[in-house]
This record gives sequence, C-alpha cells and structure tokens, in this order.
Amino acid sequence: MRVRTDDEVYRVDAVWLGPPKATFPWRARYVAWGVGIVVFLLVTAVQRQVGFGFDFINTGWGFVITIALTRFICSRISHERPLSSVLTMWARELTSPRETTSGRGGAASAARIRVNQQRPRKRPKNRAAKRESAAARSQHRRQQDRRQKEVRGVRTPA
Amino acid sequence: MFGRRRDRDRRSAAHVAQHAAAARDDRKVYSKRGRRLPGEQAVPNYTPSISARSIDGHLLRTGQEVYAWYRLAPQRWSFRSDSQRQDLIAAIAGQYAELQGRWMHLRVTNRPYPIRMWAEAHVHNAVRRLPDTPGTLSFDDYMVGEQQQLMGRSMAEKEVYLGVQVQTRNMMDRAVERAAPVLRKVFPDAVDAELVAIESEIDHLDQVIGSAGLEGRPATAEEMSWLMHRSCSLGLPAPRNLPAVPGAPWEPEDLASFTDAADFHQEPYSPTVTVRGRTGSNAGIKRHVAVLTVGLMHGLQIPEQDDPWVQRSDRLPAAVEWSARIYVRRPEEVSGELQRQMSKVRSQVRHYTDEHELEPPQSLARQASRVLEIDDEMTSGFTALGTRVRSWWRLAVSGPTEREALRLAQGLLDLYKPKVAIEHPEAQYAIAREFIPGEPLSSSAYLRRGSVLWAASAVPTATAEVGDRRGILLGETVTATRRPVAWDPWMAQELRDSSGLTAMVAGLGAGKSFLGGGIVYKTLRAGAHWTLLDPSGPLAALCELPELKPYARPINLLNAQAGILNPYRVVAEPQLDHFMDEEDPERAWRRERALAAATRRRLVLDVLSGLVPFEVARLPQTRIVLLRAVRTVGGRPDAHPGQVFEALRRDASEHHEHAVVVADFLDEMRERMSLLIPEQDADPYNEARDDRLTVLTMAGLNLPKDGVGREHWTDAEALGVEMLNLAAWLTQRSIYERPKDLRKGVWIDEAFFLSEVPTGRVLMNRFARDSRKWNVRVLLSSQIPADFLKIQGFVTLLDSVFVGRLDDDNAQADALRLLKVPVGAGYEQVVASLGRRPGGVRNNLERDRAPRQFIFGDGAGGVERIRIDFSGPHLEHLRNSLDTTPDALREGAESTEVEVSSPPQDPFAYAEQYSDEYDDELAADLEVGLTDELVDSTHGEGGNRRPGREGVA
Repeated sequence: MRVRTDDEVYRVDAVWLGPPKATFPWRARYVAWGVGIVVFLLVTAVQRQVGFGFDFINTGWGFVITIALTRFICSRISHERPLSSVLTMWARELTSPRETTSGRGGAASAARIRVNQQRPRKRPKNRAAKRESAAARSQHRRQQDRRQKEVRGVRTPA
Repeated sequence: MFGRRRDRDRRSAAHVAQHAAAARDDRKVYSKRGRRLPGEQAVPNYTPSISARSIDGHLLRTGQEVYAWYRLAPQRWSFRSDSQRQDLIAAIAGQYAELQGRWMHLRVTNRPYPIRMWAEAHVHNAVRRLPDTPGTLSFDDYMVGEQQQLMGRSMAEKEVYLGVQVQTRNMMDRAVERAAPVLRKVFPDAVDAELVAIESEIDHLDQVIGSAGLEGRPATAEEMSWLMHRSCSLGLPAPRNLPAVPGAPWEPEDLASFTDAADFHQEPYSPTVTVRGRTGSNAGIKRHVAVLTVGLMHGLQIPEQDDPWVQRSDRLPAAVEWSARIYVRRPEEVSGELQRQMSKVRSQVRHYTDEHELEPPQSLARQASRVLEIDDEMTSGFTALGTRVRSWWRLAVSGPTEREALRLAQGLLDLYKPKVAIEHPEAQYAIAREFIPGEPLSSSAYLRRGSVLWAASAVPTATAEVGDRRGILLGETVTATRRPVAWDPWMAQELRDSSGLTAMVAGLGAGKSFLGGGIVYKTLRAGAHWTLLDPSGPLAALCELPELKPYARPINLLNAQAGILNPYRVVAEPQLDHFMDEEDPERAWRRERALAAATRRRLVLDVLSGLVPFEVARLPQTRIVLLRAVRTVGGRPDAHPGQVFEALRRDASEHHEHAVVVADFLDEMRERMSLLIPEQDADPYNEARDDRLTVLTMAGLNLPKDGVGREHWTDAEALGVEMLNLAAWLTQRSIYERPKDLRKGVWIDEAFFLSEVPTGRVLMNRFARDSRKWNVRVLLSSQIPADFLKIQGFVTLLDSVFVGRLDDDNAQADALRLLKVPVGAGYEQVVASLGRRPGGVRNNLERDRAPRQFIFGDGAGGVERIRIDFSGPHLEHLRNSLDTTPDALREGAESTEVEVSSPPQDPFAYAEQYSDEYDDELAADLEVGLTDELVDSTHGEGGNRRPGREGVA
C-alpha cells in the first residue's frame, strides 16, 4: 500500500511573470512582490527620516536595497515555512525564557537588623531634651523605614 | 517553571508583600474580607504556567478546551502478514475518520525499566535458589555479572497516549470554574454541570477509541500524572518517585507539582532548549533537548517495504518523544480548498501559456492530477478512508550536553533518510512546550496534510516486545529495536494459565544446545529443578560445572541398572496426596491410577510391537496376541515385559502359534532388552535423591537416520528408538516425584522420535495437561520441525517456540507454522538468514563465534528475532562447557567418566493389591487409545495405524 501526503497539491508556485506579453527576465512569487512593496515603502520612509531627498539616485538606491532585502527574506520562507510562521517563530525566539544567571533567594541573614540591648525610655521633660528627642524620633523613623525594608518577607508579628 | 510567566509570579509576589504592609494600616480590608486573622497575609492567587487548568479522570481542561486522554494498546508488527498489517492500519484510519472536526494530540513517551529493576524482580522471583558452593560463582556475583553485561540498557516500554478534543469551552464554563469554591457551597450541581453535559459525548469517544485498531482505554489518574510529568520535564530522566496520585480531581494549584519539577530556557536561536530539573530525583540535573519536526515525505510502501514511520524512530538507541497535533478535517472544508488549489493551478497554467506564451512547469500538471486524485479518493467508496487531516509531528531527543543531543538529532535525520525529511526548526522552546498536554500549537510551520490512512500508517503503537521482565536474560532483540529479552519459563503456567510446552527447532550447529544449556543453567541458579534427556551426551558437561556439581547427577542409561527403563515403572504411580485439592480426592486418584495403568499397557504394547521385526509387526495377529498378553499381565507398576513374554507363550486362543512366534522373536532380543526387564527382586527406583539437575544420556545408542522408513530400520535402531521413548517417559516421571508448586523443567533433546512412536502423542498430551498443574517447563528440541507437526494437535498445545537457522525450504515453512506466523509472506527468508555468516568469510579458518539468532515466540503474543547473548565474562565456564563443536587442538581432551548410578539393591515390595475399577479402566483405555487399537485389530484391518511410521515410509 503506497501512502503519501497531500503536500504536493499545496506547493503550487504562484508566480507573476509580468504583464501580458511583457515577460520579466525574472520569476518572482506573488508573495515576493508583496514583501517587496512593503519593504520598498519602509526603505523609502527610512530614507525620508534620515534626510535623503526624493530624487532619482536615492530612489534607485532604495530599489537596490529593497531587492536585496526581499531576496534575503524570500530565501528564508518557503511553502514549509510561510512568512507568517517565520515571523511567529521569530517572535517566539525573542520571548522565550533565558537562563537566569543571578541567584535568587539564598540564605537569610539577620546581620543588618539593628539590635539594642536597652529599649528607649522616657527622658525627663525640658525644652532642650524635647528638641533632641524630636530629632531622635525622626531619625528613628527613618531607621525604622529602613529596617522594614531590610526584613521584608519575614513575617511581621501581629 | 516556564519563564514567560515568571514576571507575573514575581509581580504577584511583590503585590502580596505590598498588600501585607498596607493591610496593617488599612483596617477596611480586614473588615471587608472579615475572615482573615490580623497579621495573616493575603494568599496569592495561583495560575499555572501551562494552559491546563484541571484534570478530572481522563479529562483535561484548559481555558478553552476539554480533552479526553486515552492510553493506546501496543500492537505487534513483526512476523505478521501484510494483510493483517493493512487491516490494522485501515482500522486505525477508520477511527481517525470518525473524529471529524476534532483536534487530536498524540504523545509517545516511554517508561524506563532499567536493568537494575529487572535484577530486583529476578532476585525476588528466584525462590528456593541454588545454595552457593564455596569457591565458585555465587548467585550475587552472577547477578552482578548479568547486570554488567547489559550495563546501561533498558527494557523501556513505549507508552502511547492520544488526547481527543471533546469540545471547546465557553465563557460560562470558565466563569463557573472560577467561581467553583463559592458555587460548590451554594449550588454544587452547577460546578459539575459542564462535565455532566458532555458525558454522552465522552462515552461516544470512549467507544470509538476503544475499538480494534487503536484499542485505547481512558487513561488512569496515575497515567495522566506520568504523562504530565514526562511532558513538563521533557527529556529529563524519569522521576524515581512520583508524587502520590490524589483521589480527587487536580485543581489548578495541584498542577504545580508538574510544572515546578523542571524549567525550560534557551538562548535566542540556539539549536536546543535546556531543561533543568528542580525537584525530586531530578533536582539539579540538566538536559539539552533538540526538538525536530517531520518535513516533506516521499510515498512510502508501508506494510510491504517500510516500517510504520513513527515506529521507525525506535531504532535509535535512545528514547524519542513524539508529539503530534492532528486535526481531522470535514470533507466540505477540504473540497472547497481543493477547488481553490485547482483554480490556482489553472490560472497559473493560463498565465504561462496564454499571457506569456511559455511552457508551464511540469509540476503544475502533476499537481492538477493529484488534486483530481484526492477529490476522487474523497468521493469514491463508502469508507471514510479518504478523510483528510492537517497535522504537525514533532520529535524530541535529549542528551546531557548540547553536543550529545545534536548527535542524536543527527542520528534521527540519518535514520529517516532519504524518504522522510526531518527538520530542525528554530523556536525550540516554543515547540518543546507543544509536548505538554493542553498547550496550543506554537507555530503552523511544517504542516503535513494527508489522508487518515497516511496518518494511521504511522502506527506509533507498533512494538517489538517479546518475553517478560523478570525471567532469565536470553539476549536482545535484533529487529526494530535493541532491547534485552528476559524470559521466565514458569510465568506462563503461574500467571497465564497456559501450557509449559516449548519447541526448539534449529538446524545443525544453529545453537540449540547452547541456548537450551544456557536456559537450564540460568534457571537452575534461580531455583528450578531440571531433568535432561540428551541421547548424544554433551550436556552431561553441565554437571561438571563447579557450582552445579554438588546438585547434579549425570546418568548414562545404557550403563545403568537393569530395569531402569521398565515400561511399567517409567509411568509414575499417582499419589493420593496430590489430589487433595480436587472435589473428590479419592475418586480423582482412582481415575488417575486407572489412567496410569492403561498408559503402561499402551506403552508396553507399543514398545514390544516396535521391537518385533516390521513384517511381523504389521500382521494383524501380532497386534491381537500382544494386546491379549498385555491385558493378561495388567497395568500394575511392579510388572515387567518378561511377564508379557510368558503370557504370550500361554496364549490359548486360535493365534497360539503366532503368539509363540512373537514370543520367540522377543526372547531373541531379551539380553539386549536388559534395561527394560529388572532383575529378580531388584528395583532401581527405590532410591530417592534430591538432585536439582539430572542429565540422562544414552551415548552410543543406535538411532535411525533422518527420513529412513520404519521398514528399513535394523533391530538395534528399532530398540534404540523404543529405549529413547522409554527414557522420555522416565524424564516425565521425574515431574511427579517433586512437589507440585516447585518449578521443574524437562528438556528432551532429539525429540524427533516422539513422532515415530504412537505413545509420543500420549506423552505430549500428558506434558501439556500436567505442565500447568505441576508447574513444568518442557523443552523439546529437534532439527526438523515436521517431527513436531506430525504429532496431532501439537501446535495448539504449544506455548513458546524458538526457531533457529534452517536451510530447507519445507523446514522453514514448517517452522513458521509452529510459530503461528503466516507462511508464504516472505518470512522463510528470515528463518534462512538467522545468524548466517557473511559470504566473504566462507573459507575462513576461524570458527564462527558470532552469537546465534533465533525467532522467539513467547506464547503471549510476542514474536521477535532475538540474538542469544551469554557473552558476559562471568559465564565463560558455561560457554566452554556448552561448546559442542569438536576441536582436535583442544588442550587435554578431558576424559570425563560418566558416572554410573548404582542405587542400593533393596528388594522391592509392592504390597498393596492393585485394583482397577472397571469404569475408570475403560475411560482410561479410551484416553490413551487402547480400545481403538483393539477394535481395529480385531476387525483385521491391518492393525498398524501409526501415523508416524506411515508418514516416514
């Protein structure tokens, strides 16, 4: 029993040879013409952006670049790998996860937690002391913020 | 697991921390939720990084679809006829065609069975094994040697799963699933409504997939877990211990046990994707996985010339994972597309010819005709075998380094050359994810279109399995895969309830003795008891092996004590205690005793008529007088043929004269028949020795040449055949002397004589009947398969078969009949080529020491070509002792004196009266065919109905 795929049917090389009776010296698939037009528009737009004027020379160079780019793109695509799937695969390549070289997690350390032997007590009330204590409090708050940052992830007591 | 989602995880983790910090200030949150204790952090929502969301039984739900997963049954492929194979392909194609409009996901994975697991099972199975003899190869060393010989090999089992899309899910289903925790309390029926609604659909699918062809059954929870694990840790070694399978459905959170086991990563446009194990036995292990895809394919001649194209990858010496996405298309969809293609072709042709006056390329004409062909296939006939599919077939191989993985990938490319192109696409990571059940197709590149027949001809379930996984190691398969072959000769009787008959057929020098000797040696080590009948004698060398010597006894029957082959004694006397498990032990025992007595009479009749000259034996009167004399003597175990002679002389019927003539003929041979007639008051059976290995040899016995008719046999040759027959009965007797459950083996070499004597079939029937009840493996070896086929009904009694090289055409066909393999389908060539030497070395002076090959039918459906491999260094002494090839240059040709048994000569006293019950006796006579003989001979139709002899003549 001979079994074979139907792939041949779908591999029709649809080419446009040129207008009737005026055959181009090259044979390009319809998809190549489509790609060529888009590439040409892009190339021309880039030329304008960069500052090249719209004249014969520049447009000629634009044509050359377009042909080179189109040939390159068309060499990458085939019936097996249509343009759409090549673009999809390119996108997939870019978004695939990379190896993470920087370590995550690691041993927990309590080295940066400030430890005091004495808890702060109330000081006798006077003006100077009040000012001092206010300064101390603001500093304490700053440190408290920092401490909070340091021990993030450690469960805070209720 | 998969990096794409990692960002989200990290974000959610940050979110949790922020939330926890904010919660302290914002009391409202607590009041709103109400349930959480102060200080308890918000539990983050878990979303699996794969598309699968839940697994209920064999149903796997993703956000969009419900898939039903099935485990497909393995199918035998080798040694089947082409029509059987075509039927299988057509059946599978028919099943695919029924799944129109559905997506399928075919996954081929494997379950490793490393050799150490075999060793574990083997040791566990080796009950009552041989005690080690000091200074010789111990059992442990032997096991180590066996494992070293097959180091790194695996008896991996291919597992094929098929997921079939049941239906797509709508918004409502997804909303209900999200709200399930709340809904379950309020309105529990709503939660299960989705799955309940598709119940009939699933039943239908179960039925379609379960019918012949795919023979799929719904995957169990354990299998789903295995498949998910193997897919999410693609290419990593199999986990040593899987997490326990829950009794309840897997919720999204439970899927983390699969996804957390490994993570994938790759560099842009790198040729492989790296899989890193994170938990369990694979933690820290890294594998590089090369993912390939099936490209363009030539026409393949599937059953005739080519292997099924997925099965072909089994030839690679590494596991290959497959993942195929198949969409079975509706005919209307395809016909529209075909029309479009046709008009495309036409417009191209017009463009070339009309508009540019150029010759259109040949390919366009070909494509147009192919379109018409496909259209014709789809519209003709009533079968749906023209149904079309779109499919994507991916393969993955893995190695510890990128180089190794790429080497294997290159191996696959070479394997499929030139008919199938295997491509190595970019976007390895995305394509590797396709292997996970429930994931969407990552790219539409490398689309393969074809008919369901083409898709079915992949036959991923075709296997090359033979043997079991706990028995002794015989060698390895040499067809599609290289896989160690183990065989437990007692598994058939203990587990499958089949007979223990094994035929071993091979030409001269094809390795029969080597294979048989290896089986005997290895099973002896594992605790079996063997009795060997080897007429020519070289197997007695097994008894000289140091580790077997204390437990082995070689007996040369020709030098043995008189009466050892007494036909009345070689048939064992049934013991009452062997029938205790019957309904009526007493009655069964009596019936068995009557049967034994009838068998003895039949055997004596057979032996004596075989000994009188052929011309005399053919006369009807001879038969009559002998039968009468045998009847007079009866079937007691203490009788002997000498009594028959006397009875002949006392014959008082009208044939008295003839009886005396026959008695004279027999008396003439009396001195040569000393083995059959015991001396007065001497019984050689008194001694009970518990030998594990008894080798009965008859070196120097005169046997007729192959193909010489009975009428041309000399007296000595006739006596030789009869003595061999009696010796075979003697080996059979040894079965009944040991406990029923004990594993016992009997090997009768040169078993051709069984077809030459009428009692051969009786012996076969006894073997077939009792081999299961008494746990016996009976090996029968011969050079000519026709010898076995001549015994009526032998093939149906047969359990397993070994066929070695045979050169004769008829012998090859007969061997295939024994194997129950189609004859005339080209397999004769295979039998002829088993272990054939390459032509160039015909004049080689070196001996051919290449391992011999056999076709092994294991009786459980597997038939494969195997190579016998006892090549480990620990078995060197065995190889030397089994080397039956003569060698004049061998050092010190040992003169191994064959030990002659000399049992004590105790007087034999058979005190109890031997009584036959009439009914039992008649029934027994009928069973062994005595009555037929009587009727025939009294009618005077020429008495000799022995098919064996006629056949030879």
